[in-house]
Amino acid sequence: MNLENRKYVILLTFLMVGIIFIFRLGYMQIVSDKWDDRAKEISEKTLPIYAPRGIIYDRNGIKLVENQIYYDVKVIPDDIGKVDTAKLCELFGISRETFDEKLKIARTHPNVGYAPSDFITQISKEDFSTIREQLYKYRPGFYEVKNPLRFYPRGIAPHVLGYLNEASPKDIEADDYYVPGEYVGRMGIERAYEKDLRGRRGLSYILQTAEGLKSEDLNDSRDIQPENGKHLVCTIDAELQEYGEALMKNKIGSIVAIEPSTGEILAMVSAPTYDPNWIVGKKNRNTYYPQLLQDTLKPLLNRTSYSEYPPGSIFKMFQALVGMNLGILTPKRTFVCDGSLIGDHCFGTLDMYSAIKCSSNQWFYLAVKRIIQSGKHKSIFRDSEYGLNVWAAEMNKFGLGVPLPLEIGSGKTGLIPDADYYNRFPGYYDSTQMRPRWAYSTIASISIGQGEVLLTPLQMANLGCILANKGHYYYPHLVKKIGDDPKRPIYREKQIVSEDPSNYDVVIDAMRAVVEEPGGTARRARTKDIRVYGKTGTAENPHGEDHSVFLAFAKKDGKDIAIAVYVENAKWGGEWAAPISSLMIEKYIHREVLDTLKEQRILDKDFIHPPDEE
Amino acid sequence: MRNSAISLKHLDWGIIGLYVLLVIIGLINVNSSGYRGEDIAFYSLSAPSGKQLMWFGLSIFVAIFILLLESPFIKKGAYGFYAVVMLMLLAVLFFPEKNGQRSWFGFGEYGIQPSEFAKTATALALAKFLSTINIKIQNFNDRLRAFAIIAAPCIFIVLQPDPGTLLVFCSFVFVLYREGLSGNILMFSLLAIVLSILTILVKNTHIELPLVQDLIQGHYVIILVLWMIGLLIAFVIKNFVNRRERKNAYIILITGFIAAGSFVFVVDYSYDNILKDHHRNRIELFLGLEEDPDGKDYNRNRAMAAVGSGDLFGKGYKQATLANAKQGHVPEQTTDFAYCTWSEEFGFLGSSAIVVIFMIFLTKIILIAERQRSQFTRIYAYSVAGIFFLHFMINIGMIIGLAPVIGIPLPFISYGGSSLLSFTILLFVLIRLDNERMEVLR
Repeated sequence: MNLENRKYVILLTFLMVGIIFIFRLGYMQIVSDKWDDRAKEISEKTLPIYAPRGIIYDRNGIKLVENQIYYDVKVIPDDIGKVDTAKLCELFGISRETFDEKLKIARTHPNVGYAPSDFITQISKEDFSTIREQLYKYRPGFYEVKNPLRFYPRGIAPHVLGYLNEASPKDIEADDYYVPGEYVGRMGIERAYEKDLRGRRGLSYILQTAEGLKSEDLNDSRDIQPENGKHLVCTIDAELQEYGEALMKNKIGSIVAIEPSTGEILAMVSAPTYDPNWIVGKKNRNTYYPQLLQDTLKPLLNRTSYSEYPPGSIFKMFQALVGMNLGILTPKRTFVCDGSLIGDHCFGTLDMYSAIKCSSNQWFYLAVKRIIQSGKHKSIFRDSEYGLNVWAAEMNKFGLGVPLPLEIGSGKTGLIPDADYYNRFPGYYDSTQMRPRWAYSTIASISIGQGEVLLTPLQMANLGCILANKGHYYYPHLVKKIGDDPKRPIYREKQIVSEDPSNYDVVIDAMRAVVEEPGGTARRARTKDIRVYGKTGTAENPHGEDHSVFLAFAKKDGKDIAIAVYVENAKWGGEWAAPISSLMIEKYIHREVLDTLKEQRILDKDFIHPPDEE
Repeated sequence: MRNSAISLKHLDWGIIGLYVLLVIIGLINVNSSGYRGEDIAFYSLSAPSGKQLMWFGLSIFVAIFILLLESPFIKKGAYGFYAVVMLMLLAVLFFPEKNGQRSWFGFGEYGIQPSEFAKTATALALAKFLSTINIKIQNFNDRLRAFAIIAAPCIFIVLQPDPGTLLVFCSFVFVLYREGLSGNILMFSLLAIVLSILTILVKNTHIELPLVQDLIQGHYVIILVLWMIGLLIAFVIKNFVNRRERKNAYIILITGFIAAGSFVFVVDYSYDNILKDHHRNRIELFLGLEEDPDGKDYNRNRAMAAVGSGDLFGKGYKQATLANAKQGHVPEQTTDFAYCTWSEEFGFLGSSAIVVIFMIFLTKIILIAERQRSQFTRIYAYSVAGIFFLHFMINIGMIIGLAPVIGIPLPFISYGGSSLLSFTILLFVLIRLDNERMEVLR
């Protein structure tokens, strides 16, 4: 047997294996894409690139909301290794027990030892600069992550601006743009203009290690650059808003100031208010939000559009206008006012001008009776039913009883009762005869802005605009510029209330007299060098002291402003609401307030904390 | 006595060149596979490349020392060396465990595995034994003794336990075959492997057969198939084999059938009862009976992704996205999986170049073996060829998914001082012996 030939068997075996390997390598590396794809799947991942959220400016370019970088320090328990725990605790200013506690949380569900968890969150840039110098000693177990949060340099207008919150599972389901941990606008402008403000985050492909950590950027062509959020120019005047919030300190109520020529809201103060910075970021919100929520004074409530109040005497002007628009009343129309029908404080045979100026109750009782019981039907019940509906429709034109499409939410609609409203009252409808059981006399208190009638302060301010414009208005709004785009079209459409502006002259003249003439109820609204047109109101409040109301407008130097001030439980409109209005008007037009005596009186007043003299 | 000093003229510079080439490839590769992203000098002792370089230096020193030995000394000392290594294999069992194995004499970070040297020692002892006058492998007794020489270290290695190294000892079948062991053994081994794989593949399946109500378990199906093949062969024998040899043929057929059938049951039983869970996992993953790319099959899946993503030219030196210490996706990327880094970074050209170099290297050793007048050297040379081949086949086979995961290094390429040193010794003993091919007869 020749064993020597066996070398060929062995050699061939070796070479066969080599050739098989080379074919296999060629298949895996060149022919098949399977392993290429698998390698990418293993070694690559995408990271979002943060798109800076749009900044919100006031009408004069002052920043109301901006972004500020905070730092979160993350911990990966398995990567801590040997570190000086005592020094680490000192660096972060925490106790050893806190450290152990945090680490315990980081190690347990849903986190695991090799995955990052929050260690300390929301460290300010300043605080972090000292930490940064030392942090390298504790890597890779501890590392920082940038966390941009909202910052409100002036700390004003929380109800208008709104706030951000982490996306809820519901948000994520509704809009696939959101991912867990993403911030979403929750209220106010932040929510209303969410899609403009948020921009579009980018995507960057990175190389990851087996632990899932980033090892390097791929700078791939697949990367998507972020699109910055659009900056908004708000209609708010920061100075005026800030001033209004100061005046309303220790009071409950609202100030709404609107530029009548455009419908732009200059100030929207809901008191009591809070500093929006309090609820920025998870840490702060967890502390302060529950406090704000439980506060019996409801600081989170935006009273300017979510509270409805009886308007009181300011409503009389619009009764007069409705009467004139319907052709039922004229300025010359007189009624004998003797206080016999309704409690009153001015007497004699009064025309419309005098009735508004002295805020006669009986004049309006009689005037509104002409509107509602106009004689179209023989039955006073049917007549009232018909008349009230005509009246209500006319009132709706003034933006009352209907929603005003404000960006941050229309709020409440207020209440302008129509016939159906009363018919639904128990016993108010005779279903056999198909007619109401009520007539004007039943509902007469609506004539003087009491009874069922309710308005929001925003609607009141909008009434001021209608007066200033003599019969038209623009829907009040808060944003005048979205990036490079103009305001939303709906806010550029003129809303016509009355065809004939001349009807307004008598009302406006009376408003001037209310402020300027001796015996006017709003002497406190007089303002140096500015002619203020105003009307006071004192709304009866069955639950406590009456509410103080003032509606005014003024024009000077090309600036115009309409304002409604509502102070709860402050009694006479002339006492508190009127001077607050005049200070606001002076501040807006002159940019400074000279009447410091008047100013001080308001600042000092405290309606919330009763003095303990008794 | 003839002059037994080293002759530079007869020194095989070709094989030395291949050795240096492979070690340099290994050094270049470990510099990348151990790369953590920081800037450490290639030769720095805190980098794996620095350590490997130091081991290379030591290996050269040892290689020169071996070349300076007198070859009669090597031949005479073969049994002695074998005995010493066996004692070390015994002693190491009493040392502390490392990675679940008692195979390591540790000195801090450095250490030595006696099993690495057991290959050289066994090769030498086998060469000595088989080259003794009057010893013929065809004789049953001699064959038994030759197997005993191979089996002794295997027993110690089973006790460690180290299945990878154990497998390497299978490589001695090549030298036994070359020296006269019946080729049938090779055939039977191949058949046994095929039958084992088939058994494992079907053992947990149940097959519905026509005419039979119950489902039939996998291994019975194999028996059934064997039975049918047997009938077919019987038919062939009856019709085509001449009458005189027919009886013999039937005996062989029946014996073969019984042996194959029992083997199926033995495999079935051993697979369930002797192998550990993780062994079974590896085999099932390899055979594709189970898929778990991010769990049990993590290593193999990462390794294959690294190799397969290399494309034609690779990702470039130190540009691996999976197989380096920085990325860490491929485990053991400096040692057993070192070939991944090379293949990922140098692509098909690089990875097949290593296969080609190994083919040249192995061919060269066989050529060396065949030119010997000394039977001792030829036997030793075939042992060396077999050992290198098995390491090559299992290591690369595992990485490219043609073999189950078995942790053995790729000679000269994998990082590890003990392994480099032992392969150097294995090779340079051959080079020293080869140096005397003109003079020695036995």
